[in-house]
Amino acid sequence: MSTDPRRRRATGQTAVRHARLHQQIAAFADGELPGRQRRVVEEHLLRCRECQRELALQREVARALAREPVPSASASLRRRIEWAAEVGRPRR
Amino acid sequence: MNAERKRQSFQSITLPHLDRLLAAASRWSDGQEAEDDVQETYARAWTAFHQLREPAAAFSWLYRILETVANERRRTFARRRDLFPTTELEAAHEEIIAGDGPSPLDSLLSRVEAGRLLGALRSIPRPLAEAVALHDVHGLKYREIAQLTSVRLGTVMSRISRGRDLLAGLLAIEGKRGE
Repeated sequence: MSTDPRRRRATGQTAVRHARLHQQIAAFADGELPGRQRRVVEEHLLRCRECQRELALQREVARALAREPVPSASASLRRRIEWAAEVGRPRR
Repeated sequence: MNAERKRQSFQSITLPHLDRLLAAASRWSDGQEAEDDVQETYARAWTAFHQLREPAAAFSWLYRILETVANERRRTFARRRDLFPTTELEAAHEEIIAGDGPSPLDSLLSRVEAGRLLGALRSIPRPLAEAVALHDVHGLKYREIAQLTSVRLGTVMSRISRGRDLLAGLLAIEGKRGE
């Protein structure tokens, strides 16, 4: 670690900035960041390999989850629910 | 509203969300229990239908009822059995993003069985799993998730980010064990 206090402070600030931007990568991947913030993250991504890998990870996990088969309600559950709406009471 | 109109309105507004609610219930409990929770949710929704002011918000409204039903059954305790130590998941995630070579995630995800990733949501803390599922599985926007779960937008952002990180860590650990 550097013994120069100014350099140490600068390194600390960079780490804090990196941590803050790193947390925004998911929102960036999901198109949920407003324009200015988005551009700041974009610029950071050009220089930060770790955040580039984080972006790939966030996108891959999100895509894989979106592809997961969602269970569909059985005919019997659907009938029981429609029955509840008929008479106002659940049928067991 | 007369009974027939109420029934028609209830069914047309709430039934389109049935599969999504079952998917949500299945994250907390299995098979028959998940169906029971959903049925109970619809029974309560029917009784309280007059309280639904905005039909477009029906999914959020039904989801809140489902959460209450699931909490009442104390499912959280059952879920905790599946929780994986987060420090291990965090370490595995760090390893993925700090590495120099190609990310192992591609190959891990291509090998994962259908449905396994949804099941893996039970292994990470519930608030994170909920935010990730509401976004990635149910397609809600961050703002909608914030409203639904009564947290700030920044919290949703960090929960989704961290939740996916932990899932990736879990896949990496499972991948190593399977080698």
